Amino acid sequence: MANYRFYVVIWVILVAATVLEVETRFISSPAQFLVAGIIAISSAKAIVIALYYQHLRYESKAIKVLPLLALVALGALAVTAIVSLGG
Amino acid sequence: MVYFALKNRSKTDRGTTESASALSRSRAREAVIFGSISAILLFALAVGSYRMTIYIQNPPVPSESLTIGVTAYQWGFKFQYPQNITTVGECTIPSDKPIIFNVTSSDVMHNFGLPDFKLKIDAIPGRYNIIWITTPTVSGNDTLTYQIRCYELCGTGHTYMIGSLVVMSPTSFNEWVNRNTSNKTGGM
Amino acid sequence: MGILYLVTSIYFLIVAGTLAGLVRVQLAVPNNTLLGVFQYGQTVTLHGLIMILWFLSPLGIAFANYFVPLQIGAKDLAFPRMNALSYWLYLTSGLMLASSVFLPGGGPDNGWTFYAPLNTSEFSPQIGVTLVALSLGILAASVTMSSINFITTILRTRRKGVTWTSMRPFAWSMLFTNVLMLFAFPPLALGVVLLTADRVLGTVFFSSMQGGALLWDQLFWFFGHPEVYIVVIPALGIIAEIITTFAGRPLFGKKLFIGELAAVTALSIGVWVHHMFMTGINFDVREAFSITTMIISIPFEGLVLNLILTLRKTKLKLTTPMLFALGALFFVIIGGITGVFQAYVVLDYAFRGTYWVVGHFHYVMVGTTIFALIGAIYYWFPKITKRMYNEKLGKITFFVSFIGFNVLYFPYFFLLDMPRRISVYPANPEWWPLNLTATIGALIFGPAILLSIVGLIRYFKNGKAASTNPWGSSSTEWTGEYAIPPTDLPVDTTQILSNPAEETENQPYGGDKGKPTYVPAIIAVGGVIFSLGIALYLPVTILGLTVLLAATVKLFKDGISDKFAELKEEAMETWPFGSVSKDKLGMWIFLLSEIIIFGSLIIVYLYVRVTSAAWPNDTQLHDLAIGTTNTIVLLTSSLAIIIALQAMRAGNFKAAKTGLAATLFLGLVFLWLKLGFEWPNLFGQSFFPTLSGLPASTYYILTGAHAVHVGVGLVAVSYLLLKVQRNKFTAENHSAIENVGLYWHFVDIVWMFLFPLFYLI
Repeated sequence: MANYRFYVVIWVILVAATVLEVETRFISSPAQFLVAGIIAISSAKAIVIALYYQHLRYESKAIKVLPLLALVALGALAVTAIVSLGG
Repeated sequence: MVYFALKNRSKTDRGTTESASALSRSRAREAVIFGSISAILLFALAVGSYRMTIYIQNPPVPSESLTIGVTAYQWGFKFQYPQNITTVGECTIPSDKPIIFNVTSSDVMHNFGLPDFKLKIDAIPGRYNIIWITTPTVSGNDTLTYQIRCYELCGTGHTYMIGSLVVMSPTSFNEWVNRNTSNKTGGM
Repeated sequence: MGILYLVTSIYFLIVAGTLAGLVRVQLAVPNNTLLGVFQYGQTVTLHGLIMILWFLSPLGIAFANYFVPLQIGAKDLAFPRMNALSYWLYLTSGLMLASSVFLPGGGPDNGWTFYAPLNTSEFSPQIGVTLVALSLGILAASVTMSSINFITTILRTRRKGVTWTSMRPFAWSMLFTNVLMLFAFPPLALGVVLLTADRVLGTVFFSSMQGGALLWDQLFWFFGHPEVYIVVIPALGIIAEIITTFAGRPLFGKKLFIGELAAVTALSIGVWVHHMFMTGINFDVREAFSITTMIISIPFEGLVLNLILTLRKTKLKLTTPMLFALGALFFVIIGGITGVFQAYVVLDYAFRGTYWVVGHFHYVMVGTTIFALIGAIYYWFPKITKRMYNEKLGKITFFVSFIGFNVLYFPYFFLLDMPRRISVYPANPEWWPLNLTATIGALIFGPAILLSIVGLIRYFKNGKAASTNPWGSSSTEWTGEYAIPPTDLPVDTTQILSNPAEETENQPYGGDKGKPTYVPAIIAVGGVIFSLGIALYLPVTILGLTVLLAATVKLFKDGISDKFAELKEEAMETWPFGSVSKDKLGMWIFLLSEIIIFGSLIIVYLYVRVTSAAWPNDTQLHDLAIGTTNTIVLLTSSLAIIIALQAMRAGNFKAAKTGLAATLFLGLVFLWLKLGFEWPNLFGQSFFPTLSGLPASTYYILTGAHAVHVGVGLVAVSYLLLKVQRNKFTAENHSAIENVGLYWHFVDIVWMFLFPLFYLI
């Protein structure tokens, strides 16, 4: 059905992104770019899965807010933990 | 606040004749006033304490002070002097200089505390934390003794993890250093 | 359920209270020899753990179980059987904890804060510590389930008329408390899992320099600070309820009150580093948290003001619950002020690790919380037992405990130099008179509280019959009236139904009657056996898993969808979650806790990697081909499950079955590639936590945790397959597929991050 195709397209995008990620490893580039690029791609994949497979794009604002709250709390922990290491 | 609470306990029914909206406006106003006053107080204190924290945080220049390495362990304190002396349990210092304590631990988390100075700092394995003090002047053969205590639970010996800080006059201290440089470890 | 929690928590109160008594008696005189150092250490540790986690919070949960549904007009919680499971996990974990002292080697003596590296096997070899760590994990599971339940219930199943503005303060306070529980307990659970892995599997999270003390500190206090608000916010809600009833007027500035509660809740997630001011970490971080701690005191103070101003210009009925509530309010002022002092880094040089801190938190935890909770028992006594307690006895116990409390705890503020958790102190004149006074206070306070409880138990049987609303309260749990415009409703909601059998067509409740089941209890027992296996003797874990499996199978056979009476959709207030079904909302809230726990785990990985000077080149260590294949396998499985969902919606059962079967198959492929291929490969290269330290520890724990989640997902998918097979789903009624899908996609998302972390960077 038409609907299936949509999800298959998403799948193709995700697999392509994965291949892209793997390829970046073989590019010789300063480590920071590599890491930043890979993290960016991973986050993009995660967001695509969340928006389309988990249907977040079509849910009410109230539901969309929930994962964001969790990420904010996590952000606080991440930033604090890592920054506090610099004496 | 406490006064208010106590005072109102015994209030009898007086009823209120203010209209509802006037009541809520005055309430809102009161809330904002209270909130602002406390915020101002807090932040005034914050500025003051920030300055003080910076003062405490910044130890004096090492060339004008004596730096002693403190290693907390289960269950006592080891002190290392720049003159290559190590003592256990008792730390001797001169009274004319600021003293910097460079604190770490060799096993679990401890806390190097000087209750008489209201100062303490965590002793964490793998990390070096600094506190510093200045002491009152001591002359001649007098000594001043202060207690050192551990302020972080560190096992069954925590209760008895006590040391002492002995302050001597500068000349006595130099004699002490000379005495102890000949034998590598002093104290207990 | 509320009564079960109530009784169990009072039991734990008595246990922990006795421990407290022991502490005070030991410290009554200098150089006391009543308790040895190790026994004393266990006493304070268990006292702290039991009081905070197995008494204070659960008693709040007890009232929440009983009264939140009544206050919001729901029949029960959103997921009643999960609620039962929460209770059994709470009980069993508490018993497991208490039993640790009887194990060889004794129980934990490292303080309720369980600092690293003291908590590792090197410094605390006794198995009791592992057992307690596991009980904390089980309790965390219990609490997380509770929070999912309560949040879903309050967000989604209120009766029409219970709008956000009209909802009672206690219900609001329980909403905020549960949100904090949802966010705070995952890092604790993570911490204890990592600690158990350290102790049992040889990983090195807390014994390595790179992880160690500070890693535990960050995880524990990220949990620990919200935890204390979890303890105190219900108390504030209770105080609001009690004083509005006995002052005979509504709460002063209710909207402001709720706003302040919301502010305190949100901010409490951002202040935890004030427990770490003396650790020597980055100065700016400490100052930043000092400021957030100051900021949180403002709405907190606002809350107190709202409560005090409610007492103004009105006649106050000083009944026993009112007295306890006022006492609690008084204590929160002292406790709060002493708390604000501790927001300043510079003062912490003096306060850290001393009795000053102990004084502060006992004022808020015991003074505010226990007094409020006991007030709640008196307040709601007539509602629960339909009898009246003895007013005179109640008042006497109040006054005696009030005095005893202050004699006990006020001296602590003068013991500024006395270190915490020492079992013996020398006979110096600054310390022993204060300590002796405190012990005398304890001997007054403890028995007074005990007398209060005994009195309540006695009058539970013999009290005079009470009317349905003896206090004349206007709160919904007493009156049964929910503020609704009568014409807007299709059903008659002016009665509270207490017996589902009385339902008729007009009533707002739909659904079948629910039968009590013993499955949740069995699951709890299975969990305990599993934990005992881990702590004591690994093969026993197999028994635990078998029990869990059996219980799960029984649950599947009974059918998971709840068969309990619940409000019909038209009778519910649902903004702003009206477009989401109750089950989906529950799943999303569950996923929030998962985001936090996996997120924290990834943060742990980043933390130790950043602190490590040298890290092996992951890309050479982990097989990229397998990793990439697995990634694609998992992505395909996500596709499969969503196609199954679409197929189901279109009524195409065959395609749905195929989709689910494909998901199952691909999931199994993933696990086989990882566990049957990759891991044995690495074992063959001697890549073990004990030998390769942090890189191995992080790899196995992260991918292992993920694999466990995949496994659980596969069990769920199998259940779905069975249901489709038996034609239990229809094109309209198949929400389980969607909800399991949400979980499955989440597990996929996690892998999207794990893959690069281990194979690419």
